[in-house]
Amino acid sequence: MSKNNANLETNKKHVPTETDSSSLKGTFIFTMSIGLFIVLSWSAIFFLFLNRM
Amino acid sequence: MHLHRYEKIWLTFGIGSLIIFLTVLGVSAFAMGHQPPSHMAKVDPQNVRSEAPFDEPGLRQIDETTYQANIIAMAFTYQPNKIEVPVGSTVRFHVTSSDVVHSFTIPNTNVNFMVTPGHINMAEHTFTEPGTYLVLCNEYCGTGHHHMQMTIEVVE
Repeated sequence: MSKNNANLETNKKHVPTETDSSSLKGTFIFTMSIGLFIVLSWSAIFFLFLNRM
Repeated sequence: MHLHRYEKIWLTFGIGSLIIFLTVLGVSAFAMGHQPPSHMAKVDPQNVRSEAPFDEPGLRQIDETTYQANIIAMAFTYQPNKIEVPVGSTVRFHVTSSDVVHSFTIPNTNVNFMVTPGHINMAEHTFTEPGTYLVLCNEYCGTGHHHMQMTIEVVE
């Protein structure tokens, strides 16, 4: 950390790339839930369409 | 570029779903011939009744089991108001409007499309069950909208 802080003074474009990985867990669950909802509703409508052919 | 493991999973899932959906769409459009009900076919909305195919509205047999139904939608009815086909027939509906936007909807089938003036709106359906099928206008077209209907008799 002290090394990074020293860099900040000279290199202002430095962006920290390391983030707390555990913070993505909620995002992951929510993303996959929305994905699953889209896939299930799409499939339901598609099979309704096929059944009515 | 560093990607978190979860990011890789949801990106794969998202891109995979996109590929699957577009493949299904592509196959149904190019291999099975599905198309939007209103595409390139047009008709002069001012002279609907003087030009083919709507100068003779009604049912026309194309081959043994295929029929073409030329139907004019208008406030607040369809012309013709009743058609009769044998069971197992495939009917190609070619519908246009002589006034405002209507719709042509056979409940519980895939036939449900807007009827726009100036366009020949098309859909196809194979009637495998005998009975009386109701056709409704699903697009509010005026004070008599709720009376706008016709029937299709599918007989043995």
